[in-house]
Formats: sequence, C-alpha cells, structure tokens
Amino acid sequence: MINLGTYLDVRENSGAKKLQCIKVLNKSKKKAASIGDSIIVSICQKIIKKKSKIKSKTATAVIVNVKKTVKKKNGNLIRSGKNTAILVNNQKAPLATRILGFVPYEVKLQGYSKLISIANKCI
Amino acid sequence: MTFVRNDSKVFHFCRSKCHRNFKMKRNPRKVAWTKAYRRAHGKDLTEDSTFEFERRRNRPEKYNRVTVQKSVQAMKKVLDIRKARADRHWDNRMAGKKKSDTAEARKVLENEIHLVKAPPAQLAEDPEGYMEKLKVKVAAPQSMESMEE
Repeated sequence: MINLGTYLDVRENSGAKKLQCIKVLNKSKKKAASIGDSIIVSICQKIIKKKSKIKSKTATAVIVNVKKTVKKKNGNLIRSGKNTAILVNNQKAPLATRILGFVPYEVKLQGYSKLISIANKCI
Repeated sequence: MTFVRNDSKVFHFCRSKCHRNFKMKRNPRKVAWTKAYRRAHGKDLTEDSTFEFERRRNRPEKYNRVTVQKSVQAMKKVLDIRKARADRHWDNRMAGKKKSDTAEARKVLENEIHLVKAPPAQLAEDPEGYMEKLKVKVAAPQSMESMEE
C-alpha cells in the first residue's frame, strides 16, 4: 500500500537512504502500489560519500517489500517489517551494484530481470 | 504465510497458530508442541545420515532419464530407512516406560489404599500391620553442642 507521500527505505548500495513516493506509475484500476510496481520517488536522505551515483533529486524505483500482506499467485501470503524499494534507471537496470536480502518474484514478472541476477535470492 | 524481518531474514509459517505464537514473541524451543522443542529435547530422531540426502542445491542438474528414475527409487528407500530408524528411536525412548508406570501405580495403591478399602475393614483384617502404619517416626533430637554452633 504505497501512496503519494509514503516514505520508503532503500535496500541496496546506490547511496540513497530514505525515499518518498511522489507518483505511482501505471495506476489504472488499483488505488495503491504494491510489490513489483514502479514509482517515482524523491530522495530525502543520502549516505554521505564523495562519489555518489545519484545526482538528481528524483528517481524511479521498484517496490520490493511492503508492510501490508500481499497474496502471491501461488497462494502464499507475504509481509515484511518495512516498506523498501530499489532505485532503477530507464532501461530497468539497478543503479546499485549490490542488493541486500531477497527480491520477490513479482519484480521479475515486470521485466526487472537484472535485479534478480544481482540479488542473492528470489522468492 | 511468509514474514520478512527488517534484517531480511525470512520466516515461513505452516499455519496461523504458528504465526500468532510468533507475534506473541514465544520461543519455539520452549513450546512443547513445536518441532524445534521435540528436536531440542531428544524426542525426535536428529543427526542421522538419512537427513543429509534432503538438501537445497542451488546448482541446476542436467536432465537425465536414468538418474531421475534412480533418484525416485532412492527416495523411497531413504524414506523407509528413516522411518525404521525413527521407530527404533521411539522404542528405545519408551523402553523402561511400562516398568516405571506399573511401579508408580503400585505405589499409589499402597499409599491410598483407604480409597479402595475402608480403614475399619483394614483394621479387622490385619490389626498389627495397620497399627504399624499409623506410627510416625520422629527424628532423633539434636545434641546441644550442635545447636550452639
């Protein structure tokens, strides 16, 4: 349940620390974004580094975890303790070089197969 | 139900009972009906070579019809062996159970005989033995020296 204004955490090493959703993309019938949906975010906090990859204040991101329980296609229910996202570019590739933890299978269905190859696990 | 903790550890719950107990922050090693408890307290068979066959291998195997057939046959065999070993483990665990149960029952019968047979009837049957039972042993009085200490 990611809406306009929702704060998200980052689970990779691109340099961003805290995000805020400013637009939910491809929203037709559904009201809020969930796992696998892409959003536009503003970067609220950065990790202080000299060589940061992120230069603009906004970026596109894919949602990886949500606090709200989501029903998967195989009947499993999944829920997590945090709302998290991963920053991506226009070619659906991640800005980061390392992803912490697993990536859900729904992300792969949306065409982000490069995320899956970097992540160490896919559920 | 799958829950992902903030340190990205994944918990799979078999039923809502387990999920609710997790939310209550109960330790599964201390709750008697869980598998973790049974393993920790030696109730179930653990550390057996049959468990090592079942493993998650991240490398994809090349399909081969013969190996598939063989592995399917081996799975049945391994399961049979595991079941036999588990049964033996249970038998060993329950070896002295019947003896201790009967001994305990006999003790209860001896101590609470008044529930089976009324005290007057016992007195009429065996007066000496009954009176002996009523005697109460008193500990020997302690010496004065030891009391002072």
